[in-house]
Amino acid sequence: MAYSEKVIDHYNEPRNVGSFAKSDDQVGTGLVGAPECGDVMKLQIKVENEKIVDAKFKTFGCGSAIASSSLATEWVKGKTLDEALAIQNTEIVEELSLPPVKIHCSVLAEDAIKAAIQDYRKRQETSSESTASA
Amino acid sequence: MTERIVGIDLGTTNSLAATVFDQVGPEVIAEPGQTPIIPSVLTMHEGKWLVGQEALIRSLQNPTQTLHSIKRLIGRSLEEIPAEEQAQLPYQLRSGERGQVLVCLDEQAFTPQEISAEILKAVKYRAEVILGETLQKAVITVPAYFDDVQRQATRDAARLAGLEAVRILNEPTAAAIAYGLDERKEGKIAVYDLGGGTFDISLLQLTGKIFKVVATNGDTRLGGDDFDQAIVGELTLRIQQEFTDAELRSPLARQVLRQTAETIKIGLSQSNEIEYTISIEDQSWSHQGSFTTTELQPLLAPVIQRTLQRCQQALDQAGWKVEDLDEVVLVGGSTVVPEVRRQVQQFFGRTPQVAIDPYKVVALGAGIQGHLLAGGRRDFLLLDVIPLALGIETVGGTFSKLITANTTLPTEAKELYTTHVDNQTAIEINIYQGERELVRDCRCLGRFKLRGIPAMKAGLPLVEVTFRVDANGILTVSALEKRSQTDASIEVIPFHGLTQQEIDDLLEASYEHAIEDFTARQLIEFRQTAERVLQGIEMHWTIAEKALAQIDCTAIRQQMEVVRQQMEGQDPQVLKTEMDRLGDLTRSLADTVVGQAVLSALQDQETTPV
Amino acid sequence: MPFCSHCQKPLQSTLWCGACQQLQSSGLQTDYFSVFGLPPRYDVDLKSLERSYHELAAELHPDFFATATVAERRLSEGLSARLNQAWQTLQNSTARAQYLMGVWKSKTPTHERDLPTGFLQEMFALQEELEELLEAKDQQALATKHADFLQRLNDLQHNYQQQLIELKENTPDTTFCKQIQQQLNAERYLLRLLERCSSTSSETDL
Repeated sequence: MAYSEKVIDHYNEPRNVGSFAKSDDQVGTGLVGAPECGDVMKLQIKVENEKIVDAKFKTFGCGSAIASSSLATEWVKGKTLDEALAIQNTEIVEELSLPPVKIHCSVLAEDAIKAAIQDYRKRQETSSESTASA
Repeated sequence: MTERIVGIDLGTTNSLAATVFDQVGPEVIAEPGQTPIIPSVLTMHEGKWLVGQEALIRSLQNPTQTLHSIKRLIGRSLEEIPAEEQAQLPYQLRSGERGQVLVCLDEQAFTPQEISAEILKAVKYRAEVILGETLQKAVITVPAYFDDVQRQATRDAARLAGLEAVRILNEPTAAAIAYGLDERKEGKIAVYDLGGGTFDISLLQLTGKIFKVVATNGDTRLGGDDFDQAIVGELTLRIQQEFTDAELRSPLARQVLRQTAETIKIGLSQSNEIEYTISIEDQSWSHQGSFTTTELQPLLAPVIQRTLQRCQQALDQAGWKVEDLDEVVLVGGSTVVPEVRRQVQQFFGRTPQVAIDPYKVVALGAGIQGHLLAGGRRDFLLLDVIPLALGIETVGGTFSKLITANTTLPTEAKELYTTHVDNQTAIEINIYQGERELVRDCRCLGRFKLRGIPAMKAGLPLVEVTFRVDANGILTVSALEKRSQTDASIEVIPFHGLTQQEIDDLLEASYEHAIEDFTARQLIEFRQTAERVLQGIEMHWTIAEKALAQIDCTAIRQQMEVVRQQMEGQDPQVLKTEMDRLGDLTRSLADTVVGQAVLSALQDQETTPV
Repeated sequence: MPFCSHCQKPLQSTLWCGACQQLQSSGLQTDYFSVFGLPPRYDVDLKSLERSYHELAAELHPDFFATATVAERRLSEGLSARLNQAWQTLQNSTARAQYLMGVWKSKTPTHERDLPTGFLQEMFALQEELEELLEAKDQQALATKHADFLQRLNDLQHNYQQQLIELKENTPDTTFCKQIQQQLNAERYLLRLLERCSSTSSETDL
């Protein structure tokens, strides 16, 4: 397998590393882990009008996990929540040419996106509830 | 027992064979009173290979055309061989089509496989002459730390020599067999194997009939050659101090220095000081000096230290402590160096075992294993391990292990692959072997192309790839598409080895020479027989003169002369015919001699007091 | 109970028939416990397991099939590989527990990725803490962390091993499996933390 320049770039210089304040209502946080190898991944999205305007991640894991999450943050930016939910791990596998032993890393990234969106929606519900009750 | 399977120790410096003889047991194969060792040195003479002693003798007249230490090159690419090491070799190297190393000789280029095949042929032919039977199968030993490419290359060398390498056996393990069976040992043993160009440490657990390798470690580029190089360095300094204009970089100078270094090393194994003189034919200076063991020690220490680091790694891998060991066995020519023994003893805290000649023990073990493979015995079993992890390349050039080092062989690992694009029918996998985190620090065994995957939507095919490592530590890869149950075909592109086509081409070329080779072997054999027959007749000539008529004696004398002439000739068939004629003429003499022998035996018996 | 494909006698090991000395090709597929004629249980006598391993190896190893047909030699290679893997897995206390979960997986619902509540958050926090210590090259604090994690790992291992040994039934219920699986998953995260503690650079493990 020859890896494309782009992939090696993602691996060597991962994009969007960092965090947003968890308390921010516009932010959704997804924290997931891969029991296969003990990798932990945190992915955060910043949403305005159902659209992801920014994303950040922090991953403790192997190169494939880092590249997968870096790619995931790049992809979700500019997408609507529904569009982001449609991202499949197989797309990440294809883009990064991940071999079978590393497919769980792409699953992790997909799960992280879903978890972040779910977290964001939950926050919206609770905050709208609290505004309604106020 | 079926067909004989001999054991061959194909060494960096020396090669030899051993087998199990009926009634006698395991023995090295040698003419009575002669050394079993064939130096792993070669040269070309009038378009023919000269191997062993003959090549060694010519090495000073012809340094650039003398090949030694070929084992250090087998299964390697040119770029993997450090520049300083290339500079130390008197012969030239160049790169082949896929980067594999080629050795230049007489304006031709040979792969290390072809050259090793010539050494194997020499060992094989001599064994055939001594055993009086043709050999087709052998157990060939390799350093335990050899990777898949180096093992495959050794097996290919055997094929080119007309031998099937039924088993590629690890050298320290072979030594453990010879040693363990000899003494019927139990417990934990360490085999410290320092050869001419390679170092191995193997830790074994001996339980009843099971010889289980628990951990193995080593360095395939570390050995007695490095001792010689360290001494060469010192000699160079000394000479340059005395004669500033001395030219020491020429192939001849290097060869002279190398041989002097070896002599010093060997000499200091027996005494504390050795005198030497160095002069080079085309240069006017002559340097004299002496070397003491105290001066030698700091030169050898760094090399020995590297071996001991490997020993510690192996112990860590096995989860053993030095105190857990029941025995430490020394193997390999370089372990006769007293400084090596001293430091090994210090590290392991016990006197190492040297019960069996360290030059012979590997070949003996291989011979015993050959006997077992041929069905001659089944009272022991060797369980060996893969020395280096095996895996595939993943993102960012990282190495993902499928089989870890020190896994007992045979073993296998399965992986499921799928396609990324609709109707994709091929998948490529790069396979690596090594212990490092990045593939660039591991060895690429080859690129495997899975073809013939049925056209389906992306992600649908399930290709199960099986990576199998056999008892020899050699990998084979097979693939099956699970949905359609079709075998995907695999095209292997070896990185530094020979392709099937290249082996076939070389074999075909060697068939062309086969008749020539066969004639040469026959001639050697017949000359030896003729020599024995002539000596026999001379020995009993007094009996002949008494027993035979004058005319018969003259006829025998004349025929002996004819045979002598034909021994100088080149046609084995003519020699054979003349020898048969001599045989006919001496038949009655033979009868008389036998009669005399019986008679004297009888007389002896009568005179012996009862 | 499996039977020999040649003489139909009951098999002790699924790899080889002790009665008629025949290799069993069906053994290439059987589970690791039945390779040694054992029920799928956690408590295994390692001494007798090793004895069986040696005995079987001495019958199956390809070195004893060097003069046999190609098909037989292949089979002996495959069965020996299976035997080696079975031994490698069952003799290791963690690998054996993981393998058992796989055996039970077909009978009980899976909890492959389950973790105790709040565990992942804790792991992430610990990893962040470690990262700071690694960057500061605070060897002393790292050593303390290492000792803490090791203690936690040992307690965890001891706990699930005890649970597995005390298990009475051959196929445990979902709750039990979930408990064990959670601990096995947690074990990997702890191992990962330990690995990072001992890595000398702050670079993430490739």
